[in-house]
Amino acid sequence: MEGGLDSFRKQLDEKEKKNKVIKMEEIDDIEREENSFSSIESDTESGVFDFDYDELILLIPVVVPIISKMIGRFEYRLREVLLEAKKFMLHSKRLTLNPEDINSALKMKNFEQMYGYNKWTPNVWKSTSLNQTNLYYLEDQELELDDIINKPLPVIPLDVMYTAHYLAIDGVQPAYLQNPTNLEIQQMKAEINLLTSKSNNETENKNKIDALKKNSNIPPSNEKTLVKQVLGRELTLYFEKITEAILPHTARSGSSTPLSSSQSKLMSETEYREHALKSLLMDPGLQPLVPYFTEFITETVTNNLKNLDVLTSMLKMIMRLFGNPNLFIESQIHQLIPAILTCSISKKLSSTPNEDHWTLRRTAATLLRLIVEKYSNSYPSLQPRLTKTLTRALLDRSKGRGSIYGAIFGLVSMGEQVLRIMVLPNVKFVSEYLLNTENEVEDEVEKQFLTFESEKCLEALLLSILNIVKHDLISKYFPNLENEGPTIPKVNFKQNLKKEEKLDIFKSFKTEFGFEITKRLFTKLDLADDYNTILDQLGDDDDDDKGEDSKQQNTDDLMKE
Amino acid sequence: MSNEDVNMDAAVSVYLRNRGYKEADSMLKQEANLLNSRKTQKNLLDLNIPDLILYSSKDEVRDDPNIYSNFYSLLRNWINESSLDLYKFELRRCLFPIFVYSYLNLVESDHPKEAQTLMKSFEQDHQEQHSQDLEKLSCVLSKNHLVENEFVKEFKSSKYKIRMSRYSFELLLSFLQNNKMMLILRILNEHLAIKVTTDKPRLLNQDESDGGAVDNEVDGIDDDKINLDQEEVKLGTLPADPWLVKELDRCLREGSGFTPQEMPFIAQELQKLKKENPLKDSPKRDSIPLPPPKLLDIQQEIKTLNELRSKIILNNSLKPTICSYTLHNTYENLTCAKFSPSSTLIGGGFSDSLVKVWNVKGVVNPKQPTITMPSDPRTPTKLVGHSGPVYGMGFSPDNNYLISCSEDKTARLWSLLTESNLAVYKGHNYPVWDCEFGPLGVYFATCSHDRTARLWSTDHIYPLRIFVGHLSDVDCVKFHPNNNYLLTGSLDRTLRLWDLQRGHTVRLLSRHNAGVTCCAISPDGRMAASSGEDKVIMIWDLGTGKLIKKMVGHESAVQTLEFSLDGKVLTSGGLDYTVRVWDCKTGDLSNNEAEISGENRTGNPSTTATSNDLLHTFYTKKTPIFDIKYGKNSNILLTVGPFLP
Repeated sequence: MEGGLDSFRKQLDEKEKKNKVIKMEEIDDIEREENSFSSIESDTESGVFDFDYDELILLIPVVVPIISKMIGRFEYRLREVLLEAKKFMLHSKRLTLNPEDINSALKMKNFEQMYGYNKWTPNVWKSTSLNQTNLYYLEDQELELDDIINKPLPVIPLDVMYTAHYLAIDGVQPAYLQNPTNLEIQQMKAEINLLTSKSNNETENKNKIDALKKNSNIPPSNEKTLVKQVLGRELTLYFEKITEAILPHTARSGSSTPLSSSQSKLMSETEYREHALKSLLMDPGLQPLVPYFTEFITETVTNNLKNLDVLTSMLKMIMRLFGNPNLFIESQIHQLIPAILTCSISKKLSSTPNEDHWTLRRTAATLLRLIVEKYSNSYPSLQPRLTKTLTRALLDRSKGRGSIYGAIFGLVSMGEQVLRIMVLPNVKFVSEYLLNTENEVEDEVEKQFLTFESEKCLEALLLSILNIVKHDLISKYFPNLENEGPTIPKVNFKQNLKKEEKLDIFKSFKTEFGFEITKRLFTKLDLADDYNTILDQLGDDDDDDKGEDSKQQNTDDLMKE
Repeated sequence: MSNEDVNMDAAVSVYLRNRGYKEADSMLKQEANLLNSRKTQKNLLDLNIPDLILYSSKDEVRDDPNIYSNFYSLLRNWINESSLDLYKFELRRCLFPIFVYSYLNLVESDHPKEAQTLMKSFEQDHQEQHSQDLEKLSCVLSKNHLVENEFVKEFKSSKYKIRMSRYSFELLLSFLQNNKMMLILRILNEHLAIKVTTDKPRLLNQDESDGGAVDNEVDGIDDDKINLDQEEVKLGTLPADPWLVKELDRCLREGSGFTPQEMPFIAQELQKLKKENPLKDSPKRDSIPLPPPKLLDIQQEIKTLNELRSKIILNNSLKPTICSYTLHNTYENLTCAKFSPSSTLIGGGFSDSLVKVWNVKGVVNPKQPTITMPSDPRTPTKLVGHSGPVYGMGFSPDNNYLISCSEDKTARLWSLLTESNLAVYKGHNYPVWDCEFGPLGVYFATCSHDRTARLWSTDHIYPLRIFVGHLSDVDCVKFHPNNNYLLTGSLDRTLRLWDLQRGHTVRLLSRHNAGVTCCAISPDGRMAASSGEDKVIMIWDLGTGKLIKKMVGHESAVQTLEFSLDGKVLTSGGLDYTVRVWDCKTGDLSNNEAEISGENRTGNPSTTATSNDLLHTFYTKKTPIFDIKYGKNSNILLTVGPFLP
């Protein structure tokens, strides 16, 4: 606002310099003038103002005093409108005056509004000097009507939406993307000063902002040390001890203090770690440390992506923090989730592929389930987002078997609904990829290993869908059993299903999941014998039914195996 | 000898004296008999020559004693009616000294009757701010009094200081000159020290906050007793409805609707409710008529009592946790935003006349989390109806209704259950700036550019009360927690506390140097906080109407203020992208002001001094704060604002 007003004021000053005689006229005078003006105005409207230059010169002695009075009156009205406009600006909670505000003010005063100005097109003020004084004016652009008509329609602006984040947690501002850095704060301060200051040193302020912007390459001063002072000494010590205990030896860098000899004598490293984890689970006074633990975990995870031991400890640590009834973790979950996801679906989690990273992935999935159960109510978007990430990992062929394994377990922990929607339709796709090991590697040993991995994934995949499949079968063929409770009733499929029904199931499975999975599913459902009979029968049918070439092909393939 | 001649002689005498012609001077005095015969004119000799020549005129009092009255009323009308708002305050400030000196001049020139009529006709103007002075002044009826009266002596011996912006001073001068009000001009020149500043009229310095005072602190506002402050106000909490208490009691005895663990707590709270009834300064339950409570209210009451159980006790050492809701893609169109009392809804008013309400708590069933949600909870409810920017809104206490007000001069009531417009309230003649629901529902208040605040009840389309008294736009309204009073803040730099039943001002709070944009009342109803364009937050004692303290630190206009549930901590948010947390219990005005001025003197004027009461400052990322709310039973603060990239 002040910027705009200032430029107006500049104009006003200009006028006043030229017309030093001008003083505000008293009401009577103004009224008298108004009458005289109205006559002139009516003249202009009827187009009498088209006199040539000579006539104009003749008019000067008449016009000048009128102009001088008119300027005084104009100034008064201008101030009036600006003051009103400022009110509209204030109530729109802005610091800059918009053309809209001016229009609202004009509207309220029953004046004609100004058209053609909006806040989107910046008004460029140009200056020119006349008799050694600066004059400012708004440049009018010439627009082609054709251009306007032929211009493509503007893009529809995005709809208003909200996001939520923690501006402060227990009086400390967490360093997220959503919160400003020191440097940004400095810039904002300068900008606000510029907007609110009444002084004329506009350029000075501008320079300040520019200077600040130039400096923006310099990283902001170390905030961590600043925050650290907030913690008590005991807590800092506690934090150090705990992190030291939990990190296995291998992860610790050489510079950090090794476990003191006395402690290692008293108890083994694992014991020490167990104690630390127990403390995390039970201790009531850890709230102030939560952000530090979070940061520690995320940092350690990113730095030890291939250290299975460390990652397992980190997951344990998260588990304990969640388990502690005295802690308020909600504010931190969004920072912890990436770490957990890493442990779940990262391509490689161990230095050698032979290590048991499968357990780690399963643990991560359990953790995800805990989080979703606990917080999906307060963060409705949490579950969809997790599901999206996991599904992407499941379908990504560039990732290893491990990622698929983790993704399957992760999706299992998202609940049945998710499995139905995200996993069931993709079973065929995923299993085909998993089974197709031949083309990937040449080396026989590697191939074997890959098959082993694939088997693991397939097993997981089967497990994940088995319950759903069972449930569906029961609701289809044994509707009377269905309503007995959430647990799936035990049904002996082998004995209770008719032969045609089994054939039906076989067909539907085959179209939905493909042969391999169907076979395994039948095995799981204790129908392995039936599977073979059906296959035999199908083989017979195929002689009659030559139309289904593809089926034939598949069956042949299977026979070969 | 006519007046003019005397003046001329005096002028010559002064000239002679100034040039050092002592003998000639004394000779002149002797010959003209200046000293002896016209003692009353002695003060003339103390004038300087230009004054004498410029301002001596034929309108001397002797000719027409009514002229003071006429001139004064002309000036007053001009200032009050036809001057611009911005300059009005400054101009009005010079009315009081002119009034006093006119009165004194009349008395001095032996026209006590005229003086009295002057007093009678215009004393009302100054009653609010200068009642004490008027009392003193009205005692002065003869020339003898002039010498005796302390008050008059002070006025005569020193100049009345006023600070004025250049433009308003010019306006004043040109008005006086055009009307040939030489007498007033003379007063202006003789007794008033007008300091013309190049500042904008509104942005004034602290030392000016006293509204202009004579050297010897004739009207230091610090100890000025405004008549209004003697008005009785009942600021206690509203007693609970007897029927409701009885019903609750019955419920408790029957044990219906409670779990066994809740019982003792509810009983305890109920006991408290019963006890609170005879509090001394509580208004009567029926002082503001309310519809009889319904059975549904019992459930509600039980719920609120239960919520009390999980309340965390707040104190200064407990650091706040702030959850910030940021609205994106507003393109500077968001004009207001508000949280519902339950903190589950956020309402937003837009300059394109829309009102949008977001549900910020998800509607997902925790038992069966599904990913295909029936409707995305982030899609707001759109309320369409206004035909101008929506400047204010308020949720009803039960979260089911919303009142919004707009530039289109109307207020509208919306039902959030049916998502439709229920009623339009027309009454204001100019844009409506703010509105708020009463703490018990049913009533709501609006305030407008038309300088009034109005009280409405949702079932009447006309206002029940119109509160007139502010001299400029009323910018904000706030209900007192006991539903009996309304606090309004105005561009005229004052706040007024209105009695809803009687409809008149009971407190006038005037220490701000710029328009008041937001105000808040503490939950116990004893304190008020206000702030505005002057960036200073003031804490008031509503009982006495006195300023408790000033808190400085914001760098731009403050938009919202919110007391913590125990009233010890105040949180403010403003256009400077900050949320600030203040300690409003400790410290008082005296050390407060010393501290501020001290820092100002030594420090760089460009850096704003910050007072010690500032506990925390949290910067947002270019998000001005439009509303702040304390969570119902925790120390979590919610803030909302648009992100302005």
